[in-house]
Amino acid sequence: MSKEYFTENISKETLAKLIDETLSYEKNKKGERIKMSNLFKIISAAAAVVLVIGFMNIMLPILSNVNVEPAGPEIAGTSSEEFYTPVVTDRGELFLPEIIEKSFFEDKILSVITDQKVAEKMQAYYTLKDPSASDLTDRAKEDMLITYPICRFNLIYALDPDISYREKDQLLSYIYEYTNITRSELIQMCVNIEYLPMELDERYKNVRFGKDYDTLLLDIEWYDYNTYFKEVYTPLMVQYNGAISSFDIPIEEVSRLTDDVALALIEEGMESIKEGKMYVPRLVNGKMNYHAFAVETSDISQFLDSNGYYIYNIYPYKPYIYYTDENGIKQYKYFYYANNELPVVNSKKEYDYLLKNEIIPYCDDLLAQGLITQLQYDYFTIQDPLNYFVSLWFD
Amino acid sequence: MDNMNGTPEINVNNSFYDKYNPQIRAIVARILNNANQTGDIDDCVNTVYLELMENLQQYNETRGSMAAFVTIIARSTALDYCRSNMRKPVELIGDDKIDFLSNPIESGSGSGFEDKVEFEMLVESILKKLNKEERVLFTMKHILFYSPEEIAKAMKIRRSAVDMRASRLKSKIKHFLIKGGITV
Repeated sequence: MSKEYFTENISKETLAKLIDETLSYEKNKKGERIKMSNLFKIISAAAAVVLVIGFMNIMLPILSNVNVEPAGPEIAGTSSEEFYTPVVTDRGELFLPEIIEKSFFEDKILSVITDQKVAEKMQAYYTLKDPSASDLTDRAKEDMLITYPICRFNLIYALDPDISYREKDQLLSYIYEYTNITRSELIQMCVNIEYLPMELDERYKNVRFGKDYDTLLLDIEWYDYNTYFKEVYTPLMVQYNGAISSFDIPIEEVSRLTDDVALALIEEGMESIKEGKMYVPRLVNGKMNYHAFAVETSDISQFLDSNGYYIYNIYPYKPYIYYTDENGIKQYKYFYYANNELPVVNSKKEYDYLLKNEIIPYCDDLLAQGLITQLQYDYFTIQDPLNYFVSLWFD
Repeated sequence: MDNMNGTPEINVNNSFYDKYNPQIRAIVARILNNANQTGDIDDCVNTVYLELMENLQQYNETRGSMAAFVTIIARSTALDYCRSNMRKPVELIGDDKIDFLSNPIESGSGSGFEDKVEFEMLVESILKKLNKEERVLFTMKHILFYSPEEIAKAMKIRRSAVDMRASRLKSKIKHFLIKGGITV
């Protein structure tokens, strides 16, 4: 008869791997300021997924070595933000298109503006997109064709994506004041170049946008502690119990085995809700919320506009995927760029590039290997994060 | 050069010493503190350096980092040091006297394993079933003997969460041992 310690029956190789993993984990944690709101994305995602998809898909990005820097507050707006709105005139409701066909811009707008400074301002914010221009690098040309595929067939002027609200209003007022363009002419121009502006897109007719199309205004009912315990924590525990019932463990032992990082974080998050330091959405625009986000603050009002809507920024966006590999181990792949700095997918343009060049090829491979389902593939390769949120909160 | 106790001191390359001495001392201190042998830390650290000198040729960087190698040597040296100097066995993890992770499991009939190799394979398979956070917690607590406060600080969680997670981890490992036929 001999005695064996559990830990002394670990091979040296495994021991070295465990130690290296731990040292690396410690090192990463030292440089990491984890916001509870980032962690809570997992918590609420866990709750939502349990309710909607199932236990095994709980997202746990903190398990990775990626340096998860905070993305900043969930919103950057202030309550006194002014918003861009189309101008309602006797010529119909005018709007500022993001792309304008070349001859339309030059003949109907530029050439009729008599004030030189105004014309220069229009040209400062609208840039000609010509893929055949001689001074374009191959990379610039590729980017242009990705961002504005229509310019392959029609030359266009594109609005500066970084234009502010105030400047947008100003340009629109110039179009109204200096031209005779009507709403129907604008619409026809859009049809001609197969461009559907947000203002005309039926998908967005019910959407409350903020200062731009990457900002949404949400009517939110926040969880209180008791409701969160009842509606999120308790069902999650039930799901855990159900999932491990096949182990034939006495029920009194089950609670000991239900720990997972997500559950432990949920419990910590519940403390924060109780103390009024964290806000988790329960209803968004009157519907149950299934998207994971939380706001870590003791003063939620700083994130609301003057009408009491929560200002939600779609970007920075952090695309990642998760799957179970052939050994049954959960794997996570993060696509946002770190460079040991802040993760950044700051715009739709950046996301488009990432989606085409990294996310889709990676997911294609996983799908071919049978490691993800078609449903997961469609979820991970979402074409436009905006549409995901619109369908979630405004449809 | 001998120190005042007559134990030979090892001259090591300064950069190696600067880099790894804090790590070595931390591991030795934790193990000896748990075994109430605080006064022998320097002596034990010197023994670690002796072991390192003797075993350095065994280091293979494909199997792990130098930091891991140093840690393993320091740990095993400190544990051996404790056992050889102790009049009676001391639990290195003191929160549960019937703790199968810090007390040995007896082999033989009824225990579930007769063969050490078989037990090793089971242990390795159980470790593979842990997720990363669980492996890190397991390593910090049962390999490196971090205190709960140190673990809380390293993992950036509350002290109470450490206890909760450690308890659940232990239950999980116990479950897999039982499922593997081991009596604990």
